[in-house]
Amino acid sequence: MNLDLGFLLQQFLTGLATASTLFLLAVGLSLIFGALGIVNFAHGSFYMLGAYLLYWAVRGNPEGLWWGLVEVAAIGLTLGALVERALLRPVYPRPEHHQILLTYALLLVIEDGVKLLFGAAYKSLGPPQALAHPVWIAGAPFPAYYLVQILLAALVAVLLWLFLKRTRMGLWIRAITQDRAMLEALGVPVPRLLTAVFALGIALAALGGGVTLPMQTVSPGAAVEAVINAFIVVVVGGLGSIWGSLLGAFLIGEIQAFGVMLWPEFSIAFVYLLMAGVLLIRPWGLLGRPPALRT
Amino acid sequence: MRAIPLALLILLALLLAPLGLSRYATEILTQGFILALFASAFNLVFHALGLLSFGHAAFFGAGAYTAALLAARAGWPYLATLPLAVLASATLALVLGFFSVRTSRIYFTMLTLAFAQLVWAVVHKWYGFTGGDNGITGLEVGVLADPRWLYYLALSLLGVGLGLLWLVERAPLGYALRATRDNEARAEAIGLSPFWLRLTGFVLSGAIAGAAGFLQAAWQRSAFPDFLYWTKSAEAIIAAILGGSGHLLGPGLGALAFIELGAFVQARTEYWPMVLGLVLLFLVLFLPRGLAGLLGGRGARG
Amino acid sequence: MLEVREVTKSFGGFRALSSVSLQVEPGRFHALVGPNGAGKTTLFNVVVGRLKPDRGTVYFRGQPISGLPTPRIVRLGIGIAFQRAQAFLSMTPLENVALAVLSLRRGTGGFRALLSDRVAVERARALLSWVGLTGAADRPAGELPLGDLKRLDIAMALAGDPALLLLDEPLAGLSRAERRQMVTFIEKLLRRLGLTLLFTEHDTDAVLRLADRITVLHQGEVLAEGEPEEVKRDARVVEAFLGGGDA
Repeated sequence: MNLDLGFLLQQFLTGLATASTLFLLAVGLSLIFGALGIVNFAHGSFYMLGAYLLYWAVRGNPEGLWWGLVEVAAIGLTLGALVERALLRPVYPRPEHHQILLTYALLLVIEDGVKLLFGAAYKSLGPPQALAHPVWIAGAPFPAYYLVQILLAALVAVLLWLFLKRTRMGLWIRAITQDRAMLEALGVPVPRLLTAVFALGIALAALGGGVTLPMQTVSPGAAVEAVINAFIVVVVGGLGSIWGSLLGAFLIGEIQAFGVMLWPEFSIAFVYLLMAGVLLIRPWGLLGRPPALRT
Repeated sequence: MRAIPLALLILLALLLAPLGLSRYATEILTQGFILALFASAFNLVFHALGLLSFGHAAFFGAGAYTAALLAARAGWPYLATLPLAVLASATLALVLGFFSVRTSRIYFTMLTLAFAQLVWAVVHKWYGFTGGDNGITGLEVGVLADPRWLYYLALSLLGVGLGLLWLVERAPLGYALRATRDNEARAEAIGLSPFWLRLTGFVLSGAIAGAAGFLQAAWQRSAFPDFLYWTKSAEAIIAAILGGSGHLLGPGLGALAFIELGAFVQARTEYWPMVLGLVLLFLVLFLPRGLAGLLGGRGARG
Repeated sequence: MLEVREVTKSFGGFRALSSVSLQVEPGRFHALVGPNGAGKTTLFNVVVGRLKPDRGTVYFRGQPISGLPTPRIVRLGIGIAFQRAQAFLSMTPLENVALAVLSLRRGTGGFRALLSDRVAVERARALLSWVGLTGAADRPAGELPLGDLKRLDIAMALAGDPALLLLDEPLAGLSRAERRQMVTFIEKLLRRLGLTLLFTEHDTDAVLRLADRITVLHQGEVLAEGEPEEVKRDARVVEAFLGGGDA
């Protein structure tokens, strides 16, 4: 095994690139859970759908990537709003397992729908010409596109933070996780707020899928892998916490990147070890809030 | 008690069915019994403990792989592997349950899902031992190669499983399990330990799921990683909710409906998941108490 | 019977209990009073094992019990009834109490149906008739009014023949008429059983009528302790209650 600095840095950046995708995926799941109290099993499906939508939007031309991503995010917003209005709203007062079953049904429909529209074969798209060459960092080659992925995720994290911290709507979203009745009493249009949060979460997932397409092929099966990864990130980081998603994504991205060096076939085992450890010590996640004493 | 003659009539029909049915129809019905056993096992955790496990495929798969490995690699007669298959599933449930049952609600669901997917990933990749994604095929299953024998075995194991669950439901243990679901604080205040009770229920449920997996491997004369995949867990969930989780026979009823519907749809289109998804959407939005609720059963039984 | 020795408990920076001590003598009815936020419920939760004290110890019959899990504490002979009545709402009152009887007397093993266990069921029926719930024994507990639920809660607390009964706000949430009934009920029933009682309560009249001894908590500290007549005349107590505007 070659352990020089350049190689380690290369692994670290690869882990960061994985983390940036995981973050886009998990933060929406976490936001949606925080505001709606629903765990969206179809979250990975919108991620997968995002990749297919990008593939469709650019029509095989990698240079159309940037505009394509804008389209993907816009479609994600619309789709999210529609799904929330038509399907989720009726099940808010229902037991948790109805909500889970509903989003699971959505997962099945999207997976087969994508097969119907795009076929079951893998789809891929290269990065734009300008980013198709490796950059050399500390003597090791590194795909330039990964850097873009990392920067984009960082940008989203900052914008999201500013949005939640500085805007009135962001304040409401933070408040709704604490006390919904209070917000309603203050005259905040809570139903519309929930639609907006769900749409935002879905748009982020779709964007995550789109951004990843130039480096990774996509197939309908990607949805399941994605949603399970997202679950692990939020379990580790803490469900409902944005910073938790960021931390969880970072830890899991890096553990995967370095785990591959130690035990290539079963590197996923390290991720599960981390998760089991977190659950034993802090069952509500590293940055999550512990539940109050039950009475 | 008009229910008793009816039950005897149904039992008689089930016993005679293979004599009149085609080989294919017998096999489909057998598959229905297997899922019925699996879904009933799942429902013990789901209904009595109030915990939604998305990881029961791991126990189903553990039963199937234990039987298949013993038969294929160690040359055991297939039927003799049943006790070990059940034991292996129970042991796996003990280990995963030890971590999972201390969490609740959605954390429990995600945790069981993640653990089961870990088991799946190991089985899927460990070519040297489990055959990886090729699975273990061409099992020698003895008399069970005859669909009728397998039918009767599946029916008997389903009967035993349901009988056991019925006993537990009425026994103090069943009440204690439901007590932890109804009110954890009150349960502790009458001296019950929710953690150990949940673990007991989880292990019992995993063991029965293992018996279903044992049958599944005989049915396909193979074991595949698909047995451990989360869609398998989802089948149990769907069957339980489709049939109505509030009744002992609900999950089994749902399983039969699920399998028959699946066979019907799959004969006509490859887009079965799509159809299933649409059926589920309809079910959740418009028929939340399941088929048992539709028939006027007591959906909110204790 | 029960001794709380110098128990301190903080949440974050907030000190809910600071070095609280009290002794419950056998056969006595001991009341724990104080304004909201005085630490009554925190102390209750410490005694029943739902909270661990930061410092100090709780003894039951001379044996330290703080830090033990609730089920162990209950099995030593302490019955617990809650402020917000707690029951298993999917079961009938009979099943609720029979389960409590079995759990505390011989455990929940075996395959014999709960309701065909004659000893447990008879005992449960007796407890239900003591608390006046015979008529409602076979209705779903979820349909009971709050007053009945509270009595069911007490029946379950008595299921293991405890030596000490802990009641957290037995009158909370009840109407005026129900309160009177409950006070009479506690008085008659528990005196007859010869139980020791530790209870928290807001209703001053009820406390003065039921209690042999009163401990007054204020801002996490013991402000006064003594016979009802002494406590009533204590100037600090009067000030804490009137000044706090919450009696």
